[in-house]
Amino acid sequence: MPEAVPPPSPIPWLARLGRVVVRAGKSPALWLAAPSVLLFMVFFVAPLGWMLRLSTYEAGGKGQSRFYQTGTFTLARFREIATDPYYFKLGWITVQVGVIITLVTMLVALPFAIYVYRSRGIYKRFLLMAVILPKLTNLLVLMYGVLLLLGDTGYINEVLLGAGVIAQPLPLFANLPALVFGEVLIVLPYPVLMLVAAMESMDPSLEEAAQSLGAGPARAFYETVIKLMVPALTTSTLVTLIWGFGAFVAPTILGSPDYYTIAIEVYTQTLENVNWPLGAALATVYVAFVTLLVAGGLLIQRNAERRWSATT
Amino acid sequence: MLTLRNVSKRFGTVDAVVAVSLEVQAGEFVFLLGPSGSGKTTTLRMIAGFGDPTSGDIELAGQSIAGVPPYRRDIGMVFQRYALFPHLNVWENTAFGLRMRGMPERERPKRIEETLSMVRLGGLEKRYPHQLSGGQQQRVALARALAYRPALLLLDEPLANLDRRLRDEMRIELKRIQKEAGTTMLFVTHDQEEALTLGDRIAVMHDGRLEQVGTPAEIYHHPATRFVASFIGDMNFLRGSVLGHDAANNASDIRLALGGPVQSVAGRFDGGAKLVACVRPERVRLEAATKDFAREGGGYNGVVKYAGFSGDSVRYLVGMPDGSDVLSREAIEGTGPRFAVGQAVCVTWPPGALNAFAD
Repeated sequence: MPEAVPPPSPIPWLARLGRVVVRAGKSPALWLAAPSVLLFMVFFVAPLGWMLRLSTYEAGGKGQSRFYQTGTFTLARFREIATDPYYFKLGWITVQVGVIITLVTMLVALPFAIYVYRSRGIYKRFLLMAVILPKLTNLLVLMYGVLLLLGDTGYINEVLLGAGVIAQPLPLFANLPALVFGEVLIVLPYPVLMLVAAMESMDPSLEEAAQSLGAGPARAFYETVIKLMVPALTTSTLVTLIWGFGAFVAPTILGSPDYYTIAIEVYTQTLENVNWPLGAALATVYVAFVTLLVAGGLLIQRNAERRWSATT
Repeated sequence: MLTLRNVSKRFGTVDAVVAVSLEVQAGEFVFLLGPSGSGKTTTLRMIAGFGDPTSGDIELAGQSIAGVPPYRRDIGMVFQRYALFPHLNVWENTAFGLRMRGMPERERPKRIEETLSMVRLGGLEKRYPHQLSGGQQQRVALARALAYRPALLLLDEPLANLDRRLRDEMRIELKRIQKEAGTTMLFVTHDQEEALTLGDRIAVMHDGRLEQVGTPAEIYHHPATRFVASFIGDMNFLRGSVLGHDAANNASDIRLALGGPVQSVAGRFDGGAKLVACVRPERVRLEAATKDFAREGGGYNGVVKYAGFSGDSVRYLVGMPDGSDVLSREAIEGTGPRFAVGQAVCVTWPPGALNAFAD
């Protein structure tokens, strides 16, 4: 029996939302999503709205007791960001740092993921555990651990100095390589796990089929596993890029002011200069940029997946 | 064209395949039949080049292919779950082997069209595997493996994932395609019906060993081992002992534990030895027991315990005096079963229906 069709609403999206609410009332299963929806609303959507509003206030200014002036509305902060070459340079550095982090991470992640996929038994479990292990440590602890290794009085310099190989400590941190090293450590588990999961979901006889059809082992691997991993590669690259653009901890601890990113600038403006509106405006620009990036990536992804279903 | 010589495969301490020797002629449709774990798939994979034999040799067209990697063997393979490339459409899947084997690009379209029309997939070239039914996927797998016209096509239980009706249809199709392509095919299955209906010859495997190689009729009517007798079709097994051996006819006289007349079976058995004789249910004849057949030496007396009507035939389970059961199947003549449960019947079979194995 056809369901009664409700009359067309003048506000279609509101009508659609209404239907979802009505359906939720009828279906207890949908209520299982309620806590996560609530959490998402309270801790993500609401602060995001607040951030947007915050970016349009007049700044309270240094030395004043208020972080912003209530009741005001201005787009001056955005104008400032758009015209001051300092922010352009900041954005450019952020993009560079993000891209370098992503390139290095993916160059490590793909071979490593293949290696994990090819491993068998308990060794494979060990490798997977090793991938997840850094995630069980606090981010700061991890970064200071790296500092313990690379610092002027770190293990590497101590050993080299003690052996008389060098007279002065090597500048192993406060530079781009150290920053990238630290950030790759943080991000690596995500693409590795995503890529391994993608490979595990494939029919292992595909490679054999390709070989039986005349492809050598390397060609067979490329024609099946690698080509089938394109969606997973896109997704994991996207995730890594988001992490890379948002790099904060590693640049703060292991980088130098030359490589300070937007995230660090947001922190500085908000907490050190107490210029909340400028911090919020910077964050808004950043969120808009990342959102566009993700949208673009997902579009590529969908075009690839429309042709063939990734699960079969 | 394919020769296996004493091929063995050992995984650790497990003998997966033991001294298998088999000869397949060009254009033949041969089945490797056996239960799971009998070593048939391992044998097939060794022929394909996935795993070398521990000992023994495999020859293709007179040349040893030991150590030749799969991609340099002139062999096609159809995998159990098809293993179609999900990111390629039907046309591209079929073209894959031609591409990998370096067929010039302008020659490919004609070959692909030929192959797709042979497996009756014309018009579906642009479809991706997930947009196809199970039967269609099966045809793509065949087309892909046949496109470059390999000397030998290996099929690993290709029909196991299809429902019954589709399977019957694909069986007929496979036979037609095999005739049309003229390809030598080696087909692994655990389905004895499949092997009997399609195979030119059947090689029955059990516990890594080859039990018997022969035409479907030979395998069915003259099983060489007790395993073959029990694995293929229904079979009655009857205990007996050897009375004597007739060297001139290569036959032995035996008497069944049921008693009754002296029976003659093919083969030489030592006098006094115990053996197991077997007879197919459709060769077992029942007659109304109006007289005492056993005493007169014509057959065995029994009582119908069960009569199962299945449209074109009836299956009777006959309880014998020694407690054993004999199964009989006969075509329906008239409208229904001739005998009712509880009726006394006499069991007989024609001469030569009995096969015997040492116990």
